[in-house]
Amino acid sequence: MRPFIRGAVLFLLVLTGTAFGLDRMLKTGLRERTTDVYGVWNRIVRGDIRSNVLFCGSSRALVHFDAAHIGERIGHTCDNIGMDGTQLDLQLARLRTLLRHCPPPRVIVQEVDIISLTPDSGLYFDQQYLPYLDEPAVRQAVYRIEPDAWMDRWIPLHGFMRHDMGLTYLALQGIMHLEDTLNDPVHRGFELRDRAWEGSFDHFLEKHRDGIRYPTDTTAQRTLRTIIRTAQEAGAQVVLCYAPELVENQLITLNRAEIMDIYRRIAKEAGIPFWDFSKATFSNDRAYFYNSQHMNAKGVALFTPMIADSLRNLPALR
Amino acid sequence: MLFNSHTFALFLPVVFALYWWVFHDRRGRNVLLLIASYVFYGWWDWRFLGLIVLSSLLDFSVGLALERTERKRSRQQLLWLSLIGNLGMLGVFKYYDFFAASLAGALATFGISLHPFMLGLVLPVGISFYTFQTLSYTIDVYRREMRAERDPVAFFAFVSFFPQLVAGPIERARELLPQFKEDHRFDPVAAADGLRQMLWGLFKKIVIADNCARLVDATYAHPGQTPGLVLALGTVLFAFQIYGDFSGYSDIAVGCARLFGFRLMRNFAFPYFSRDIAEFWRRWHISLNTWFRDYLYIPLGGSRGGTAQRVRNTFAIFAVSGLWHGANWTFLAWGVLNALFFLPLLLARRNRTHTGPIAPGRILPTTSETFAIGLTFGMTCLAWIFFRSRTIDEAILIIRRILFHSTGHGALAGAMDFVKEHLLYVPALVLLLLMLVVEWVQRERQHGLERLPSARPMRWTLYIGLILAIALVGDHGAQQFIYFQF
Repeated sequence: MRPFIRGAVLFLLVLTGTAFGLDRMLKTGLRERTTDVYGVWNRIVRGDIRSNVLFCGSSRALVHFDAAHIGERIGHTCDNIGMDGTQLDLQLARLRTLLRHCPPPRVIVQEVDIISLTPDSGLYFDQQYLPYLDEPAVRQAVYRIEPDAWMDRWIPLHGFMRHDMGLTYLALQGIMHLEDTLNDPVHRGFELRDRAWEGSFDHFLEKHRDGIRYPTDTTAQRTLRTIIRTAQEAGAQVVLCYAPELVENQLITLNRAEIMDIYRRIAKEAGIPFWDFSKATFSNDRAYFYNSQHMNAKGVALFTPMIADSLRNLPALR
Repeated sequence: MLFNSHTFALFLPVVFALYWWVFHDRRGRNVLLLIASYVFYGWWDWRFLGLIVLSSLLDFSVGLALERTERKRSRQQLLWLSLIGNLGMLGVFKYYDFFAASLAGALATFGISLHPFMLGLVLPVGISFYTFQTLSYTIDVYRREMRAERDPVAFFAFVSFFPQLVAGPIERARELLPQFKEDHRFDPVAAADGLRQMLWGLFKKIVIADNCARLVDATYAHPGQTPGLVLALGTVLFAFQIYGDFSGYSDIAVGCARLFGFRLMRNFAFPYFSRDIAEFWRRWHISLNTWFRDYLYIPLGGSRGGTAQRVRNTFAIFAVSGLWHGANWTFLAWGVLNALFFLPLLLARRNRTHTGPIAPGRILPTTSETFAIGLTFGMTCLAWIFFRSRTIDEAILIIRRILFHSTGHGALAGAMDFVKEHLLYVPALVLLLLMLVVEWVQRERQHGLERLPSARPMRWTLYIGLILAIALVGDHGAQQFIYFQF
């Protein structure tokens, strides 16, 4: 029995060593990437985001704030760190990570929307956090939502096993610097989605003929206040911003006034402006949206000068 | 509990350590195996443990009663009690709804409206396996081919032995039960080979079968709109999915049992290298096919008697084998189609032409062997279409599309689009080829990793390579084993 156990232990040691080495190599590969979601994360942790204006929020920030064009209009560098499918706590984690590695921007525009105050649910596209679980803020936020995520950090290759081959492929691309940088959909953190109307909203309307109420979770409100305070403590001027939203959705939202009042109240408490673009004139027209919450390229082209004009008047940028 | 789960990765070392280091006497070890087996099964759904206990209790009692009586009529009654109890359980959980719905459908064609009560029960995992295993015991005791077991712990552990409880191999009582009466001594060579066999099984399941499953699901999702070439590819991949899935499970089961000093029967012998359908059926799901041979085919007269009787017996065994897999006409069609493939060989008395090794002493098969292997594989693939399809109509649609919609620019473009959309699976397909090469080289051994000739560093490199392939190329969506549903 002893030789068997000795052989098995030795084999496990060799295996674990190999797996640790490979895990480290693949995570390094993801941290080498310069495109898509990982590109933005990597710019954050490398301290490469040094803009005057920073746009934060969920997918509505990601696809609405064209950082490069807004920057050209206002004469200041801009970056976007909006994240698809996230709630406020993960946005806070990302902001904290940025402030840990990068100089604070002069202005932070925090995007809010109709579901920002919804309680935290699962992690969307959770493989994006795999290389950053060593970042304290990211780790804390991810563990709270997915307690098993510690395994991704400590068990070699576990994070890669949980996802399909695509993640390993991305890591290998990163190691060998074989990314398609010419066709990166993300530019300065902004992702232009030149899409036609998707139609899923019609099913949503059908389902909620009597209207819909969105939650106004107090924890989420507290997190929003923390985001504002964190940004202010870093010396940034903060703006709360509600980008254009299809009016049809506004009409079926039964507690919309209540949600907007909460945003106004939070902004007032923090002494910051609340810019409400939700009723922009083109918000009535589906041609500028690909779904009720997200503008397409045409909508973004109209929104860019609007946000630029508002930014230009901020004292921090004069 | 699944073999490819974190829970099992913890469960197995714990049971192993307790078995060899804490319990030293046979009875204590049997108690441990029994408890471990019930935990293993109960992890999936503890409510159905009752069925295993019931089945074990029934056959244990019937076995003892059979031994106490010499009266033929009483013995027959006891055998019927076991058959009704076990097959009745199987019938209620697996077949009642199917036959009730089929009867209602048949009567509806004559204008008779029948609305039978449907049970809508969950199928208990492994029920088809352990009921057949216990039945083999009762039949063997009835035939006086073995003595009744008097030790309830050994018997209950035999019925529920966790490595093979939920998907076989379906062991014969006379082979497995005596092993619960042996004092096992740790055999490091057997244990190491068991681990190798488990590794090979996990590779086949997680890397080959589960990746193939994704592609097969994609091809079979909307067969009416899928190009014939893609459906043909999906069918070939399904052949490897079901092979990787089931033979992988069997390898894990056999390897796992060896860790505890038990020898389970071989369930697969590289069936896709078979040179005709008869050989395929001697190499595929061996434990079930020999069960049907011993307890159904031979009692019906086997291949003795006239042509009509042989044809009847062949159809009977293949039809029952089809229905054993599931309560659906598609499984029956699969069985009947295989019977049609098998019959010409039987009637020409060529069904035992290929009983020896394949391409003995040669690296590659001859041209005629290659042709025979390819043809046999093609025939099994044709039958797998029925096995995989949801309905007979869907199977016919798929065959028609493969035959008539596989040529032309549109079909080729559709196939290319499918390949482009699934480029991520290329590494898994490369590993599928590797599996075939390894199994071809090892075709005269028990499993893909048995008695590797090279030095330790080479062997360890291969093992680590396989483990890393499982980690990085494998599909870890913890897909259930296909045969669990049977």
